[in-house]
Amino acid sequence: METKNNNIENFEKFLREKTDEFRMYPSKRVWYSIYNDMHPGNRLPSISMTVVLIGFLFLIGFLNTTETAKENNIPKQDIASSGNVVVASNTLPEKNTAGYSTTETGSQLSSNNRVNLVNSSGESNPTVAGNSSEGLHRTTQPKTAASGTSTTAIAGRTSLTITNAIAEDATNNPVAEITTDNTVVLNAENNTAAFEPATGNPSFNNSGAALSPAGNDITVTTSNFNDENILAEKSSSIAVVNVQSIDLETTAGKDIPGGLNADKEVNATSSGTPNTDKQLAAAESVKNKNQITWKEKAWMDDFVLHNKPVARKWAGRAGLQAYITPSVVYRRIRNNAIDKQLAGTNSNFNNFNANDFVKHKPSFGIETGLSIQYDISRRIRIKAGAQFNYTRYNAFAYETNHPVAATLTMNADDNIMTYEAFRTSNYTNIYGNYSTKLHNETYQLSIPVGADYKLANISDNVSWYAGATIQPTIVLFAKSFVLSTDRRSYIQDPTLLNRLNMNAGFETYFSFDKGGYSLQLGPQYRMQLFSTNTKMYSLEERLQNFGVKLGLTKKL
Amino acid sequence: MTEEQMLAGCLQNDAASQDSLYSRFSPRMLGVCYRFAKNREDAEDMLQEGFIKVFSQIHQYRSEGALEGWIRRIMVHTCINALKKNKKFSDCVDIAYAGNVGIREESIPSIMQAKEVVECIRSLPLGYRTVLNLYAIEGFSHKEIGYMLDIEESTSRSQYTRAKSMLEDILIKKKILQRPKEKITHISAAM
Repeated sequence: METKNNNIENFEKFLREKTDEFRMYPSKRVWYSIYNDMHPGNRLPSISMTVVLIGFLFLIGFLNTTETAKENNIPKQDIASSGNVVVASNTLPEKNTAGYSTTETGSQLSSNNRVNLVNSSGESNPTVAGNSSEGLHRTTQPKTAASGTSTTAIAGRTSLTITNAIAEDATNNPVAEITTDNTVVLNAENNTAAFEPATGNPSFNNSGAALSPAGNDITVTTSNFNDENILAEKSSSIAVVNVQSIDLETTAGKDIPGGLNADKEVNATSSGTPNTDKQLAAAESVKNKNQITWKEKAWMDDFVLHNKPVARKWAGRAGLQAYITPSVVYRRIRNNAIDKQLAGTNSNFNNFNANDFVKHKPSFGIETGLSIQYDISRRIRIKAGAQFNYTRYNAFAYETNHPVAATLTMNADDNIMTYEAFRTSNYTNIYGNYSTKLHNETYQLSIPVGADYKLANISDNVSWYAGATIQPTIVLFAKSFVLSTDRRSYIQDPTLLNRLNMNAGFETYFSFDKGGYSLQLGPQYRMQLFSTNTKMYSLEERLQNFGVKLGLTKKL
Repeated sequence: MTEEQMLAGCLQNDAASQDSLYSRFSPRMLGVCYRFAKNREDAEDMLQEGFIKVFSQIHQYRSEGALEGWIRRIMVHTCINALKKNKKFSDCVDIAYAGNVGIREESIPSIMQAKEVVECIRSLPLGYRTVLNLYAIEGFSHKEIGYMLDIEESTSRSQYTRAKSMLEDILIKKKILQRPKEKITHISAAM
């Protein structure tokens, strides 16, 4: 009443006071969005949880569909206390044959309460018949299967609503309700053709099996009912034509003693209107949501069922990458003589560090290739491909006008001693007629196999990775100069070349994602695991590459 | 967590501090946005955008005024910017158009008085509502409102006068306000 004393003179003040008192509490979505915007690297797990949930639902759906597709006869379902049960039958009965029957017997519903009977095929009319006293039956009977009856035992229920959720038109739209006085009313306005073949009033008998309170959803899905068979059914207690769903709802906690007990007959009529406006509105609402016709939907269901596309399990995970890595190439040299002592007596130089006698300089190399990548987890990616490498480093030497005698210290095959091999060379390390630059170069073909690990998400589109590969390598061509025993001469001897080798690569890079592509850029180190030359040669040379890798990956 | 701690944390982009600040101010700020917005969803979008601005511009807060006032200003400007994205908004604040708009009294719920008042405000035509919100509640001058909404200052005044009159009528009909005695006297005297 205080506010009633306010007058218009204090209008602004009054408004300010009242609006300041006003509070509204935003949904969680707002904070999640703000958080994700402010902390892009630490997104809340809503997206991943959603993906997991959707995947889980798909799995459940897939398993249930697979199970029921294998069998025509739906086994007894005992639904204890909770959860949803989805039973789907996708049997394709032969037209005008009598062998089609899917009967579910003795299912005890121990609770609440939703039973959806879905006929996913189009032109046919499922029949729900109930005469026996074995709990819940769902029978789709051909002409001759009149004895296959079913009874739904439901206790403690307030209503059973049968609606035609997707129908071609309003004429095939029965809505039925089973109320506490066990009356079922099928509302099929102007629906004459659908019920004409059936004789007598459909009945719905109950054996007295109880539905204990809890919450159960049961969806029974059948496809391709044979309408002629169904319409020919004479003994069905309830004939539901073009029923898309049967929705049973129970008032929680209410135990209705008289509700649907054994031997109580439920009458169904094929005319009339829905009992309540609410039901009619619900039926209309569902119908409006489905703009496609019953036939179209049935055709689509059938088509989808029998023409399942082959799932591309790798879709979105695989990628094809092209890359190029300009690099700087150098080498490591060390004495590999088996009998160093003997080698030392043969030459004053052999046990000395070769690096002290030579002038080598790094040069450029290049690597290019294609690889297939596959994300095996959120952070780990495996990859394999083919790549070409060109490597080169330079040796500064002198060229002579005449050949000079030179010796090579070689490891004997017995791996016990060394020996001297005699060669001639026009390139010396100490003197000569004019200086020259020798190019030690190789052309290699490799098959890199490895993995990358995502170290961090820098932002929405930028990630930081580290990776490693092992690269079996074939040396296609090489121009390699080896040092003589006295380190004074360079000798070219192709027979000493090691054609098969192994390399290892290490890299770290940033990946920039845009559309279906990602660009990667980062440093790479590649090392040769075995010597360029064979074990016979007493100096071991291992190439090393330091490069910057630039790659472009297309998501497959 | 004190306001100083929250501010210090927000300056370092600390999620916990941002959460605290958001929890403290979001209910009131959503109320502000709701008065401007078409519906709750739009209001939440405005709130979200506003708080992102708050967190990303928190370093500009000089501690000279109340933090809530600073946040509220950002929210109001965010709301106005969001409204201006709607092409119809400029028509709505036009005086000629607004004069023909009726009141949707049926949309006024009677739940609580604060909410009722807010809903009464929201039942006004968009142009009236915006000007009234800015002038009577947020305390902007007509000159500022004219600048914010790209309308003449005189238009803002006219809009406010009509909005005020319309809202008074609604509040009186809802028995939230009483007609002033002088006015009643004046009316009875005239009779």
